[in-house]
Amino acid sequence: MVSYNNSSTTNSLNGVSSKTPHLTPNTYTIMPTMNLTTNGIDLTTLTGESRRGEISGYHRKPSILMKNAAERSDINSLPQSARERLFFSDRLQLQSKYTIGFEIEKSSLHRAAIREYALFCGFETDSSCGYEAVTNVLPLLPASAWRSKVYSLFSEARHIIDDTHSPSSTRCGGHITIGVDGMTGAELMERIRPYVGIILAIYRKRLSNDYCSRNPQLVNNWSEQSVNGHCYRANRVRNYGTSDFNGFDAKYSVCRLKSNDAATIEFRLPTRVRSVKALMRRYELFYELVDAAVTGKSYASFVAAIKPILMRMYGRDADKVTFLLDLAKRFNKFVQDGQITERIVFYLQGHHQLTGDYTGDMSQFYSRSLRRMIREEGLNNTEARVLNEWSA
Amino acid sequence: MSNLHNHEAVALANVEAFDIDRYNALDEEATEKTKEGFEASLKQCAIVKAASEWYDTTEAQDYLAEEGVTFDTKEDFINRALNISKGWAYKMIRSASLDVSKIREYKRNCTELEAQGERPARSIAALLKFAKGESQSTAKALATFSIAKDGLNGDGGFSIRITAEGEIKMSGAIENQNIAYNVQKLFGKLQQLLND
Repeated sequence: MVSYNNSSTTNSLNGVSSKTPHLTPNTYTIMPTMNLTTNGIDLTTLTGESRRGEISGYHRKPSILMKNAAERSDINSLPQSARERLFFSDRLQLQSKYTIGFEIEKSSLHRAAIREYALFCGFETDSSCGYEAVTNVLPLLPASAWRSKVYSLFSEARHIIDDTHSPSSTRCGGHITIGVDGMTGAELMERIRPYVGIILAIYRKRLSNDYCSRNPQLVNNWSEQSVNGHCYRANRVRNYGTSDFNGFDAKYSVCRLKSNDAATIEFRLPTRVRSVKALMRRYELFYELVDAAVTGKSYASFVAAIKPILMRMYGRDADKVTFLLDLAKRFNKFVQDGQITERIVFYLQGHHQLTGDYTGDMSQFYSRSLRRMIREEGLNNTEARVLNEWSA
Repeated sequence: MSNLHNHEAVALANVEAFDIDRYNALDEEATEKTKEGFEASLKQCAIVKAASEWYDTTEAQDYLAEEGVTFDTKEDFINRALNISKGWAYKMIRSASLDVSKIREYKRNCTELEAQGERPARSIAALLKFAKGESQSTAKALATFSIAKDGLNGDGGFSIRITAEGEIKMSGAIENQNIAYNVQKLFGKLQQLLND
C-alpha cells in the first residue's frame, strides 16, 4: 500500500514549500493537519492515538475529527461561483460548506487491516451487523483535485471497505450523515425532500427493513420523536397518523434528525458498502443531492447531474437507470403528496404486502389507481400482480 | 516518480492505451546523455503522445470518472501523471510525431559529428532543432548574431555564429530581402563601437 507522503523542500525566500509531494511506500507520517505547501491540504495526517487503530465497544469509538479544511490551491481549479457556494473561511482556513460521513458496517474486519486510517475516526462493535468503521467528517465536493484527496483516503482503506477483504452481509447497512454549514438539519431535510425519490428508489429494498423504515416522507417530526421515541415505533401499527406514513421513530427512520437543533441529518436507508468504487459513487450522488437541495436546482437539472453517476453505479445499464429514474419520480410524488401507487407499494409494505397486518391498513394512502385495482381485481389478485409486475 | 495519489496511480497503471509503468521505468535512463538515454527518451515520447491522445477521448474521461480520478485540466494530467511540464510534453509529442526517416537521419548526423570529434547533444530538443533544419554542432560559440522568428525574417528565425575553432555556422535561412538594411545598421553601430 502506498500513502501520499508530503515530503518537500522549502523555498528560502518565503518559507513555502515549492517541491511537489511524492509517493513513498509504506510511510505514514504524522504531520500537522494544515500544511503550507503549494499542493494544498494534507488529509493523510494520523493522530497516533492507539484507540483509533483498535476495535472499541459499542458506542465507544474515539471522537470524530473534522477533515473538511482546505487551502487556496485545493480549490483553485473550481469556478468562482462554486468557490463561493462551497467554501467559507474560518480563522484564515478554508472549509467546505457541505460535509459527509459514512458508517461502513461489516460482518468481520480483515485482521491485518485494523490500524489507524486517516479516513476513519475508529472502529466499534455493532449490535446488528458485527463491526462498523466510522469515517471522520469529510468535505463533500464536486470533481476536483481536492476530491481526489478524499478518494485517496477511500483507496487507502480498501482492505476495510472492500467485501473481498472485510465481508459484509445483508444485515449490514451504510448510514450516511450529511450537513451544510449555516443550515440546520431540519432545514436541510426539508430542502432535500423534492429530490430524495432517487435515494428511496436505489435503496428501495431496505424501505421495509425495521431498522430504517420509518418516516420515508422525510417529515420534520422532531417534536413527535421526542415525545414518542421508540415507544411509538413499537406501536406504530396503531399509531401512524394520516400524514405520518409508517410512524415515527427517533432512530429507525429512512432519514433522521439527530436532535432538534442538529446541524446534520442521517440517512439510514443506504445498503452496506461493498467496495471503494461503490463508496465513491455514493459520495458523488450525495454531493449532487445536497447541492441540488441547497441551490434549489430544477428536478431536470438534478437528473442530468445524477444520470452519469447512476450509469457508473449500474455498469452502464441504461434500462436499469431508466427504471430507477422512473421509480424515483413515483417516490418523489409519494414524499410530496403521500400517495402510494401500485409501483411502490411493494417496497413500502415489504413482504407483508397488502393483506399483511404488520404495517396495518394503509389503504388511506393508496392512489386512486391502486384502490381501483383492488376494487376490481380483489385484494389477493392485486397483491399477486404487484409482486409479479413491480417487485424488481 | 509521479505525483499521483494511490488510486490514481493504480487506475492509470491499468490503462492499455499507454504504459505508464514503462514510462516511469525509462525515466532514469532517459536522463543520461548517451545513445541509450536518447533511445529511452524516444520511447518516452511515444508514450507521452499515446497518453495525450488517450486523455482527449471520451473513453478516457469515462474511465477516469469511473475510477474516481480527477485531473483539473490536461496540464494537471501531464504534470502529475507524467511528471513533466506542458511545454516539454508538447515537444515530446512533436518528436514522437516526426517521420522515422528524419529521426534516423538525425542519429546518423550525430554519429558523423562524433566521428569528427564533436560532441553533438543527443536529445529531444536537439532532434527537434535538427528536424527544423538547424545545425547540430556543439562547438562553443564565441559570438552569435540572431534574428527572432516572426520578426524581421518572416516566420523563421536565423542565427550566425563564430565557434572557438574559428568556423562560422548558421541556423535557419535569410528569407526577407529587406533585412539587409537593418543588419547593416546594426553592424554599423558595432563597427563604430569597435573603432572607438
